[in-house]
Amino acid sequence: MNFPTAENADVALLLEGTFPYVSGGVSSWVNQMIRAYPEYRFAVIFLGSRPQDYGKIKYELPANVVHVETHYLHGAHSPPPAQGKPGDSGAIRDIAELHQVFRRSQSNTACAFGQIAELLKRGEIDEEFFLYSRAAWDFIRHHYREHCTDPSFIDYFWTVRAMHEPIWVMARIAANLIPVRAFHTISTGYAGFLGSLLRNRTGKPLILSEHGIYTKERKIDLYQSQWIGDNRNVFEKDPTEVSYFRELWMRFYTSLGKLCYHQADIITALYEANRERQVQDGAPAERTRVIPNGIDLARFQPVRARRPALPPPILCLIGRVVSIKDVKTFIRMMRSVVNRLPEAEAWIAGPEDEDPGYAEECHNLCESLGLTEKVKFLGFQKVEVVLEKVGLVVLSSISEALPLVLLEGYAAGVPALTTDVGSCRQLIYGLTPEDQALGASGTVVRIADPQAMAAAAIELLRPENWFPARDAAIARVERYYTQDLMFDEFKQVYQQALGEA
Amino acid sequence: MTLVTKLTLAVVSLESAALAVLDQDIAVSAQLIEYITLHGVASGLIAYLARLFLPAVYRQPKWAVLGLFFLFSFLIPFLAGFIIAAIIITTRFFTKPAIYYPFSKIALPKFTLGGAGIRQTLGEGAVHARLNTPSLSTDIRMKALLSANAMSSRYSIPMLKTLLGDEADDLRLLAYGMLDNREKTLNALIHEVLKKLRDSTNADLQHLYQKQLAELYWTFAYENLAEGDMLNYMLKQAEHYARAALEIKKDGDLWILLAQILARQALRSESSAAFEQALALGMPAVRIQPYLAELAFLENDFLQVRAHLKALRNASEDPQTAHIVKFWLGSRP
Repeated sequence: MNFPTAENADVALLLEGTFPYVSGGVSSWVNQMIRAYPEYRFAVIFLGSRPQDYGKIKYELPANVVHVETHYLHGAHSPPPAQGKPGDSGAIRDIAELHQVFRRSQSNTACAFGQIAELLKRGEIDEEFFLYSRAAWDFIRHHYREHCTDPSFIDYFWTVRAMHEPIWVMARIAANLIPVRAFHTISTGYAGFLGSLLRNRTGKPLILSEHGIYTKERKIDLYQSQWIGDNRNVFEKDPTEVSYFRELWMRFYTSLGKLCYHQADIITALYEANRERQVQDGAPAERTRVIPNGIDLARFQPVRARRPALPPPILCLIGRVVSIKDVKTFIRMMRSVVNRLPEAEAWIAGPEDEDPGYAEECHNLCESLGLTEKVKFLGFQKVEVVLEKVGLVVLSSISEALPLVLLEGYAAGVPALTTDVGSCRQLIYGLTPEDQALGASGTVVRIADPQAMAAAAIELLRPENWFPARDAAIARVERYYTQDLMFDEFKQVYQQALGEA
Repeated sequence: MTLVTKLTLAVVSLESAALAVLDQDIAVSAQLIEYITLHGVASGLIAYLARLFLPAVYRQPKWAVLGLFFLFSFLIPFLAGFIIAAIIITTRFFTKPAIYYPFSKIALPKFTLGGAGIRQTLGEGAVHARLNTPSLSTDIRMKALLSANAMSSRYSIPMLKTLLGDEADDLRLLAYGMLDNREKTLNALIHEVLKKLRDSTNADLQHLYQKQLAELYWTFAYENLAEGDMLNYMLKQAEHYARAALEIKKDGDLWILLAQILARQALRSESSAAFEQALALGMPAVRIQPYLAELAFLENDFLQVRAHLKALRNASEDPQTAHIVKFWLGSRP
């Protein structure tokens, strides 16, 4: 596909695994933001894992997106031809210092990272240096002996290589990016690292707007992943510790996060608990602020009139079929709901292509629980169309930030049943005393508890509970979560970053 | 005259004679043979004499010590006397007394395995206590949670479930991950066996797959993974496959499993009947009587509890069961 290109732009959005190739809450938010500020010209820098993991773009590009680049961290680039070289021991000293800083949890990375960024900029450390120099080899060997508790050097060596591969990709992107006035990353991780590099290279301000906490979500993946090896024998294993490679990956992402927090000029979170977590993870408190999500009420208000008079016994999970959404708990819940309310149905409205293995497990679970007739996988749907027909919006996620689908449901007059994650409790029961006085707009249950979720769903579907929840939902979203409030706050952020304030 | 004096005089005489031989006007070869013989005998006596002067601790090994002194005095005539004297003086006056104990005391070695260092392992109680104390640091509780991974699922899963409502995000998510992995493993196995069962036409294989399915569904109940309606569903599935397998083949083990499945569904009389079937098929009473006693207990039939436990009086080697038997039967015959 031909994407627009430009000589320069106002804001470069650094997007890892999201808009415009992946649909979902964060992507919708990015789309909403770009369209909200037609006065700014945006450059979109998409970072994906591998080219084959993405299909066509899922969003029509707004007119003020003047420049688009897509880059892949793995598999899109072949390494330079092998040739031995000694490598600069001075550069290795700087790298060792940065690693030391990463190991000390409270240290500020800004100074050590600045030196590395300078070396990268001058080309004194590059991919060839990392892959083929004697100095890098000796450094890896030394660190293996000093720190690694796993007996396999081969696994250690390749883990370190795989871990550093994306760094060279990002160094190349940073070197070739068009001039912009500010950088805006939507997560820490690789996009945040790219932002840190660019901030160092150009001196232009970096804005970080985190939805979930990237490091935390990576940790969930790493705790659950089966692919990370552990070669220790029974005598070497310490049952109170995770395997070295798992820990290494966690530390890697934590370090990337820390770098980004230290480099960013403005850091936004969607709700207070996440802001506190950012500060705990290294973000300077004075640079952080909370800006909650908001939605376009006008888009969803007409849906209310098209809804049936009584709540239909249809429970809908709107979201991607991925493990973090814990779709399996939603399916298990349906087993109990259907036992008591045979006419009930469950709809899963979201794409299944992001994690096909997980989607297959969900289908198998439906089959093994005898729910193939009751649970419908609808694929990607227009939210307004789905919300016209459902009784409850259900969110069974194990991790969320401030989910847009709940707000969209509220605006369409659909109460919600959620797990106790992110800001869901605040969205259901209210944050401030005035907000709480509006009443509960649904029910919150703990994660991975299908039985409790089923009981809550059945209760909430009763008209005597459903109507007050719906009224509270509409009142809450109209008072606290409109996109106008969000746009005003982000306008200030952009003005500050672009020196327009 | 003491032995030492006699030997000393003998040495002096022999060495003097040896020196005298060298002054005689005879053939060189005869001179050499005579000298070596006299000097050799003198060296032997010197070695013997020197050993007598050594402290007892240095006299062993006997032949090695004698040999060493002999070689000294034989190969370095005259000068060896000074060396031997120096050795004797050093060993007698300048060495610390060596005291030998039957067991020697050594310092504790620093115990390290690879880079892991000294590890702490936590027992079930310690894991439980740490996990249920939210005021402890997340790191300590995280270590306890990881230890739970090494425990039997039956005991760790209820702990993990409690943690799903924990305040600490990381703990909650790790507990979720561990539970999810366990369920994923079981579901994948069920899915695989179901597929094999669908494709199989051989009765023996069908029996095997159905038995495996009954066991896998039962695991959800046994490990407390499933609750409420999910539990009922899993038990129904387990019962269905157990009964289907029993229709194909007689199987004492499977009757015991079916009885447990029925007991968990509170179908006590059916469960008792299934246990009786297992007994009839020759399954050992020691394995079955505790279950029957438990069923009788749940029915408040305490006489029956005693009756079932009596069968275990002499047979039970399992300490837990032995304690129960002792409690219920006391000293009665």
